[in-house]
Amino acid sequence: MHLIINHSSMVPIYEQIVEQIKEGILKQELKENYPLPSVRTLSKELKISALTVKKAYDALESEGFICTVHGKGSYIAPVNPQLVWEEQRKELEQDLEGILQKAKRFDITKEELKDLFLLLLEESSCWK
Amino acid sequence: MLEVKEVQKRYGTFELECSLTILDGQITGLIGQNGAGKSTLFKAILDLITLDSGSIQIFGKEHHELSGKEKEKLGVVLSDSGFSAYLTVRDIIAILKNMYSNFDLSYFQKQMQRFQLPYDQKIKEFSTGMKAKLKVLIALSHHAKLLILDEPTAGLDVIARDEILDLLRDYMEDENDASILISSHIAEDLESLCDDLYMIHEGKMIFHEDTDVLLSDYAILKMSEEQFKKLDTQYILKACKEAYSYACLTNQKQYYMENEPGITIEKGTIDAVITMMIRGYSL
Amino acid sequence: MKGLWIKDLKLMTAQKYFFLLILLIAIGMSISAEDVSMMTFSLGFVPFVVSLFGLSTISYDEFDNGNAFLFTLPITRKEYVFEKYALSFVLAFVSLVVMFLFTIFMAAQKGMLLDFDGWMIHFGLFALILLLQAIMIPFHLKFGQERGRIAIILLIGALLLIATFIQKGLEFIGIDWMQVLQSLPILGQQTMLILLYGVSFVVLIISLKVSIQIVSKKEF
Repeated sequence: MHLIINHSSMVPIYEQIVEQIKEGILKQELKENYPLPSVRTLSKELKISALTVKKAYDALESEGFICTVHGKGSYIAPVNPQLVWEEQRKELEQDLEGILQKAKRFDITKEELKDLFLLLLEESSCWK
Repeated sequence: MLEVKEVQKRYGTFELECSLTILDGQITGLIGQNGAGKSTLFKAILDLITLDSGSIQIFGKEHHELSGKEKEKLGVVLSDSGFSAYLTVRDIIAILKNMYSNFDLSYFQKQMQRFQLPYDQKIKEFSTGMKAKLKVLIALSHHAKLLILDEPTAGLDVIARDEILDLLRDYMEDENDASILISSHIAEDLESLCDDLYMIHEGKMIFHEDTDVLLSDYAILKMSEEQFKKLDTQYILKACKEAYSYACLTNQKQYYMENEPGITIEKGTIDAVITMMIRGYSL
Repeated sequence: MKGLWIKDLKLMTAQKYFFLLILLIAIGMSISAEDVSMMTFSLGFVPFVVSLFGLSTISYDEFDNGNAFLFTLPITRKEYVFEKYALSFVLAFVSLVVMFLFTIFMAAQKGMLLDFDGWMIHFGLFALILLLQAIMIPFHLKFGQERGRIAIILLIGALLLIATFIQKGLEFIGIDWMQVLQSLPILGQQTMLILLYGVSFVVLIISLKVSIQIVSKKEF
């Protein structure tokens, strides 16, 4: 598990951890039952407070991505396809929001945007 | 693990008056300017000075009632004191072996190797960095449950500091439920190590927060005078007038990010927060 | 407390050359001695100097504020004081025994007769050493090395002054204290010696209690 923390980002560190672990799960780089490093170990590697790591792990657990066995540590939970679907949808939504905002800034109309989108969809190589 | 309850100590014009708690398994940082009272507080905790009032409990007992055996669970680094400079590391090992029933020789030897420290040279011939590393090593050499470290990285270059902090991180990884109270005036060090922070200023605790919360929820808002006049101040802790602008400290960064888009928001680093806590005024 | 012993022994080892020097002087004197009393001089001299080493460890502890760290170690203040007294005593005693055996050996080599009466004085010196330690240690602990020495010198000076006053006072009244002493029942030298040791031990115990008080109250 290779987490990279941006200390100057406005995004709280624990959120960065949560996002990166989620991403790892969704991309199937982190498989089910993969043992996560202990709170102290990860805080050592990332050079951050242990409470921050704990916060991240707690958040992931409450969302169902990991489970903690008392005394043994935390593991990646069995992948819930529903959750994966939800996460993926969320990511696409965010990206699309960004595009919509950009379009607004460039003063592109809704019609022009729709046309552009359909055109790209037609020509796109990954959808053939 | 350690509880300092409303302790008071006066030295002429200086008065220490504060409380502090350290939980099991936690690393707590104490930051403050030189002369703010960090060392005085540490000396009070270690029963090197008497208290005018208040109490300090370590491992659940009054601090001056700790037996020799219980004191074995303490690991100490003082900024201005240590073993006699006329001793060698070999001498010190012989002393530690006989003072601590849990002295871990193989751990000590491993770290000596890691830091490349000489066994048979008198300590007075060590460099500052070597002395600092040795002091920390001595404190960690006997599976202590509570480490009290007064400025263990003072005067060191960034690489040496990092090595010592790594040593502490490794220690916390291996020892279940050990706690550390570490003081420093280098915020960077504390930011990357501590779980929570206390700030001391002129003998009083002016701030206490989890590091995580400080780094994520605290921010410095910078604005013009007009913006300051119109500002929603319900979450402003301190304000400070600068040359041509105003700076405000808040612990609700999200709120201002969402509601005051025109204001410059800077991440709350430990140094920025201390400066505002000391120089700023409450609204 | 064992750790304290090791610490002090290691610190003294650093001064081993000085030790050797003293030893050489003592040996030299014994070899060149013409009569028994000169030979037995080292019986008092060496233990005296060696016990001063015990005192010097207090200075080493003080140096560079070392005491602050020392008292965070798993020792109690009582143990610290006790170890200092024990150290000085053991050093003086061991060196006394060593010099005693050495002197017998040298005397035998030279074919000198051993006159125990003359030796009593030198054994008495040991009691005086203990007395001196009993006075110096608390002063040293309370006032530190330099001020401690000054304090002792002042004390001795004051005692001498008082003694002189008493003497002058007695003279004024017309009493000659020498005659008074001589007219006292004559106690055997051995009894005097035992008395001297008795007094020394009592003073030592009092001194120990005082030192424990001093160190318990000390702030670092």
